[in-house]
Amino acid sequence: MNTLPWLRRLSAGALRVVAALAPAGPAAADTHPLILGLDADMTSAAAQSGEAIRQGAAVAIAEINAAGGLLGRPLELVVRDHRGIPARGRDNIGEFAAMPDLLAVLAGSHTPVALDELELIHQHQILFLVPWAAGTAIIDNGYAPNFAFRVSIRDDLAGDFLVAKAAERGFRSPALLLERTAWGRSNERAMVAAINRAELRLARVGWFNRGVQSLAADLDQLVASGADAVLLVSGAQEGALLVAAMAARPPGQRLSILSHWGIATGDVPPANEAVDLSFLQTFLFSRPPFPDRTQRFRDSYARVFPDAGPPETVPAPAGLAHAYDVVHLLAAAVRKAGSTDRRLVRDALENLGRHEGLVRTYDPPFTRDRHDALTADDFRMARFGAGGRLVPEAP
Amino acid sequence: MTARAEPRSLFLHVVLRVVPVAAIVLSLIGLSAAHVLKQADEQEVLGWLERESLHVVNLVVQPIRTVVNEAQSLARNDLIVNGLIDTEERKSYLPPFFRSLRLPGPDAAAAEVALLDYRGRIIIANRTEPMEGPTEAWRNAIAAGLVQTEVSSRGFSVVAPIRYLGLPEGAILIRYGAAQLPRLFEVGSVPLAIALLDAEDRIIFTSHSGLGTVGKLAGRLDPDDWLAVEQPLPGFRRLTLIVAQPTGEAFGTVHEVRLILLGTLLLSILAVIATAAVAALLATREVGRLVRLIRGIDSADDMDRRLTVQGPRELRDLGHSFNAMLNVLQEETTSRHYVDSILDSLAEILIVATPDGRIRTANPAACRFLADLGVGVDRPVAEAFAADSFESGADVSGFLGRSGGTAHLEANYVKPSGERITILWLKSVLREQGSGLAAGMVFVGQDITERIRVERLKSEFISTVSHELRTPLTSIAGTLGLLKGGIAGEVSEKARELIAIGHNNCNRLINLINDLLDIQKIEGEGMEFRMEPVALESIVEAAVARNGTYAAGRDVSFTFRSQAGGATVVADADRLDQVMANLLSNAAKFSPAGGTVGITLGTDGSEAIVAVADHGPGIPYAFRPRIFERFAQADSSDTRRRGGTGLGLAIVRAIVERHDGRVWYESAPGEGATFYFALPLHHEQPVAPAPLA
Repeated sequence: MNTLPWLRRLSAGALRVVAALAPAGPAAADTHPLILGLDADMTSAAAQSGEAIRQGAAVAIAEINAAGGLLGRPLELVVRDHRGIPARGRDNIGEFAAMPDLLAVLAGSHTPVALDELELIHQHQILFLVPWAAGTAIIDNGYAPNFAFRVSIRDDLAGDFLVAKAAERGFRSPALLLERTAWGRSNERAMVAAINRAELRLARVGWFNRGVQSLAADLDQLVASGADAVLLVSGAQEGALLVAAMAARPPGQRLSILSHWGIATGDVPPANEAVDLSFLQTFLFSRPPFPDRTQRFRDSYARVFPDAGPPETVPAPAGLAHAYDVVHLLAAAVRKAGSTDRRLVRDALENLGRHEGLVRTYDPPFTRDRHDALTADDFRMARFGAGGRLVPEAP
Repeated sequence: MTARAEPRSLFLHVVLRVVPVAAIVLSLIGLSAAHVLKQADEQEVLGWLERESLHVVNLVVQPIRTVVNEAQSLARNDLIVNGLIDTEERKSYLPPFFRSLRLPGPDAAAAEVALLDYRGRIIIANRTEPMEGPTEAWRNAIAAGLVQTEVSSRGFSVVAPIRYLGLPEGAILIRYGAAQLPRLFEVGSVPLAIALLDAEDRIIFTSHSGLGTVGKLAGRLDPDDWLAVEQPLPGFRRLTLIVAQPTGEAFGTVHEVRLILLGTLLLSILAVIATAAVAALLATREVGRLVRLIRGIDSADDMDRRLTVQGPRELRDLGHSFNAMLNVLQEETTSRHYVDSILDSLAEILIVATPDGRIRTANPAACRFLADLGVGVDRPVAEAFAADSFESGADVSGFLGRSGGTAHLEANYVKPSGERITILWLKSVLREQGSGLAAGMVFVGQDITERIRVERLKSEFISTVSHELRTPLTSIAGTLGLLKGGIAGEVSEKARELIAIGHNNCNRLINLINDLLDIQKIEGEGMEFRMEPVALESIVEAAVARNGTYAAGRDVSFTFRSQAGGATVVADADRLDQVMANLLSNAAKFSPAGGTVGITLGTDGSEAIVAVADHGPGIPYAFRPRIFERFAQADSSDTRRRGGTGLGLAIVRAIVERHDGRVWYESAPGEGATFYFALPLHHEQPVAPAPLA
């Protein structure tokens, strides 16, 4: 292991949590815990998304294990931090691949990392469950059989959705500002197509690098292009830069920002109140589609994280819900397959029946040709509310 | 080979003296200068190398710094950061970006530029060919978030960690292979050998194979071959830079300077030789001219010639001095000729003898004289007094042996013709000026034969005349005496007076003639002395008594006192009586009336001394030199007033001297005079020899 000490501590902590949750069930033939890996940014700019996924997965695991585990074996969450860096992600996948009891790996919020891991994922036939990263190509990856399954936004759909929202709000000439990664390009394709379909004027496509220190100049160019809104595709770090740059402009010259949900993977942008910022979300605790299911989740969450506040206080709450749902879908597939063989479980995932999830009712969750469980129906726009809580945008 | 080489010419003399000294001095100066220059130049070369080495250090350090800065700058570049994440497209833009970098070195493509992941693996590079890596060092540097720079025999590399959100997530690697280092550090622009050594003294790179091989340990440089300076590489504690220069190259200038100095030295020596030669030639020419001029003056006839004074000051001085010397010489020569001619014309014989008595100079008269004697002019002078013709029996040895003052000798010679001649020799000692030592003897001989003959004739004439006069005078005096005595009857008073006058004058004349005859006899040795021991006291006493009457006639009294009653002298008593008579009559004559004349006899052991003292007027100073000469009287009127012939004291001296005695006087004007005569005492028995004091 070449991981950092704090990462090891974190993993040990997770193990302890799992052990504490594991029921002292009857002895089975194989009682070795099944490993569910989490490969996400746990410490960097999108750490809050990683933590939300972890918590959502942990609650689901707790429920599964409480119900006797999978095929008599407890499910155990093993966390690896990739800090949004593909190289780390690949190494993490390598580590997970070496684990004999590995059942699946949960991806984080970073499309570039996920995309970079696909090769290894398919090489090792690892079930790749994606509760956040939205890159279209993560699922439409060309691998057959395809081991990647997503319970999250798909950029193709997000592009249409955001453009539609912009059009709804009367913006006729949106500009794009995208991170120079596969995720940015994934959205560019989707958004440009959507704008074209919506017959809006594409004012400009701006690109920025990860690690950029300021987006003021980029913003100036967007403004100069005559844009009346900015469609933003960025992580929390760079998103905050654009918000700051926008806030720094005179109030009359600020553009509305309609952002992909990457901006909500981390800390709330400090200057967001001065800016018209709305962003894509799915599940919100403040307006759950299925309140009863949400209540059950709240109860489970409170059991698993008794010291934590209510789940809606968790930043990036979509991660909670998506992870919770996808882990239960995995459990269902294992049960359906009657095996922990990942290939069989994969097949089972494509053939699951109706599943009442937190985010939606999956019926069926996946098919052979559709590994994306959510649709645009599950999307909504949200804003940062008081205390950084996400609140749905007023319809 | 001859025993003695011919004397060197002045030219050679000067050249041989000047050139070696000048050559030695110039050589010493030249060698000292070369030494000092060499040291100074070595310092200069070392200083230059030191400065150049700093320059080389800069050459090495500067690209390293530039590359490090570039790497750090790249690590902060968001495109690079983005490249860590953008796995999809980074291959399309990072390599061109890397290739567009302007990195140090002649060829940007020479450097490897790569993006490393968080574990130091190369993600993407500017090159398509596979690159070496990752290394433990890179991984550690990234983990620590520190820039890692490596300069080793593998080359030069910089790993600059890329921080993303506070943590190192990758790195930029810029690397130059070992073969590219010389070009990277542009050491080709430095005309020096350079080697970079790691901590183990292993050569990282070198620009000169003489310093060692890359990857191998650097050996010690031979200081004879290399001039080397070691410099630490700032910021790379373990690295050492060797900057060296082949000594031949480094000290090429020194050798050149030394050659120039040597050449200058040789030229200087040649110049000195030439200068000395020219100087000697010039001097020799002037001296030669002088010598020719002097050679022209080689006889007395040329002595009127003088050198033409010209040329340098020293030669002018020499000419002036030479001319002055000629003047002196000419004067001396002229005066010698003058003296020679005087001597030649001298009738007197002049012989100059050496202190040991050999004849040195003889004038013509002397030559003739000596020739007559048959004595050669190179013979001892004594032979002139021992020749066959020498007749004299006088004290020749005393004369010749006398070493002080002058000596006289009358010597008689018989000439070959039979003629007899008398030579009066006068000998004096020639003394050197200054030292006063005897330089020789001068003999002057005067032929006095004629003079003696005339003297003799004169004496004979006087004697004859006196004899002839005395006889008639005696007759006249007798006759007048008879007349005065009345033999011819009574004469008148008048006549008697006249007869008395005549008688007195006649007697005076007789006395005069007697004195004349006496002195003639005494001086002419015609008088026989009856020498016999006599008691002087009785003679004196008798003379006092006998002359007392005469004194009484003048109212003068004699007193005699003898303190040497037994004194005996060998003398002629009559002649001594004559001496006493003359002295006593003189004393009586010059004593005032009523005066006293004191006569004393004494002795001093070897002589008997008689003194006659009067209280008369004394002897006038003017008269004193000739008081013992004939016819000498202080006042010619005295003769008539006091009587006397003026021959008395001359007779006294003649007699005393015939007795081998002495006569002298003491006198103070107005207080009288005392006359002394002293005679050698006669001892009956031969006196015992006096004990030697």
